[in-house]
Amino acid sequence: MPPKSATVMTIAVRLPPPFLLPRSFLKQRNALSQRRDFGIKSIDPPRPNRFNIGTGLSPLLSSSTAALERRAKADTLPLRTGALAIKKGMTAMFDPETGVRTPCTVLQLDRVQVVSHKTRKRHGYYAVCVGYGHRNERNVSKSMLGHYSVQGVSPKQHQQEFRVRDQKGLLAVGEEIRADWFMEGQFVDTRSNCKGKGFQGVMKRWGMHGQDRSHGVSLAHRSMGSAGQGQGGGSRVYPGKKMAGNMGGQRNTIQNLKVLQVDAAKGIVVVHGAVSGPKGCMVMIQDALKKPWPNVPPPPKAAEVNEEKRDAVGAKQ
Amino acid sequence: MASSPSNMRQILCWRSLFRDFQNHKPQRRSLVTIQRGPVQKLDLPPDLPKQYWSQLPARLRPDQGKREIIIHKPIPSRAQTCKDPVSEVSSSQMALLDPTGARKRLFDYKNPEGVKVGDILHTTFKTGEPFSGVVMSIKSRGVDTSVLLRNHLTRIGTEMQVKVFSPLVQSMEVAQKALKRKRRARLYYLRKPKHDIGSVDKIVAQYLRQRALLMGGKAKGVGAGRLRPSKKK
Repeated sequence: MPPKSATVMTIAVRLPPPFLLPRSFLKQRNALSQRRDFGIKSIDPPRPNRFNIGTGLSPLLSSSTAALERRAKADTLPLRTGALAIKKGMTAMFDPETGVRTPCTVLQLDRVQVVSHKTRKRHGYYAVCVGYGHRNERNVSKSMLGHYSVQGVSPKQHQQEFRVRDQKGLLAVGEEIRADWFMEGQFVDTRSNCKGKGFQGVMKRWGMHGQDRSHGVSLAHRSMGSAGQGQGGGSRVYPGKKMAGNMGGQRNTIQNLKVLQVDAAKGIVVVHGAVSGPKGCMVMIQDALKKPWPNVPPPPKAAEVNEEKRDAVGAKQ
Repeated sequence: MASSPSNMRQILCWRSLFRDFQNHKPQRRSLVTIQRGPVQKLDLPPDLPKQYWSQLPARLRPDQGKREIIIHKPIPSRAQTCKDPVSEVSSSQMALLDPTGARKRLFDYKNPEGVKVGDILHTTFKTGEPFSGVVMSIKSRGVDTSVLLRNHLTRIGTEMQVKVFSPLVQSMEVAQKALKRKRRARLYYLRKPKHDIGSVDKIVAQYLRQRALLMGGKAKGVGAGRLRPSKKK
């Protein structure tokens, strides 16, 4: 038996190139480090992001960051939230000097409160969720009751979201929005569902002209007539062909309505002209997008508002 | 020392040289996952010291407790104090347009001395010529109350709808009350030649003469409005 020392020989062997060496041998150098690596990791060095995303670079056009930037630049988002109201009816106002008659719509606010926020971090945009009125707790689902409980507001009858440009437009949760949120003389946009007309024919729904009342026309006086070409049109009816069907009940925006009167004590906002929808429908009121943003004075406190209004009423009488 | 042939072979074979390192290769994972069944849920130890609570997820921490659903009270409603905002707005308008309420009383259907269909009205405006005619219809719409007057101007039948509470309307006077109550609310049949009254100018002129006499006699006549300045002062 040869001595042990004879088998252990230190020979200087020239290593093959690294690509021929097994990976485990190369990794051996890190064996002493305490780092634990989980998952599939590349041993290649980090490469620059092929989508060209990084600090100091302008965001990619199809990213949410760029979209928000474009929106802010276009100035199409209001700076502050809107309010919910119910359309109560219409009346008219006469100007005492000129005698001009102005038809107007009366909208009423009732317990309008900020319920929650939508933020860029969590939802990708900024918006204020506003609630109107009160709903009996027995008629509200447990999920929503939990949501209202966490937010610290009472259950609401109606809820809508008002998108705002940035974080400054986020009103505090639980804050009441009174009628004097809007100023007399400013312009607003109103959004509401228009009156539902039910199933309607093409003449009412699309303004088609129908056919003759006489001269041989039989049973087709208010009908559509032809639905399109024959084989030349593909032997089919084109999608979106105007036909009879359900009409109305859709959301409609009326832009640039002037606020004629505001009564914070009674929650009344009177706007010029007509607002879509029947009496008793819910209306979203927000600053007009196509007019300069209103210069809003710092909001007064609730107690101050009541005192002012009481004094004003007393002075009138 | 002379190396044996077996040793020589070992040196030249790379694989043999790195056999030790090969043994450190990680175990290859098979494609099949062993089904071990559901994981037994372990209860939290009852007296877990507080310093370990941060290691637990928020919902399992002993101080979390079941979240009670608190139903917050609603804020006081301003709308409840004002049940009919439309009438409030229109009544505030009426206070501006008709402070005394005289015009309103004139066109009140409950008022026996009020204007009825078939009466002849004489209306003056802030600007323009006065217009008179027989009342064909009265539309009671609050602030938008309007009256349809029919007359013949140079033999042409002319109708005018007048907004009663408009600031442009200076005065409205009843030149002649209808003798008999008309049996319908809208006298559109007056448009037919058979029932057409024709021009009411003569009747109105007579009324105005009588009024002028009365106005001249008294200091200030009681009328529905100033028509013309009194001749005698």
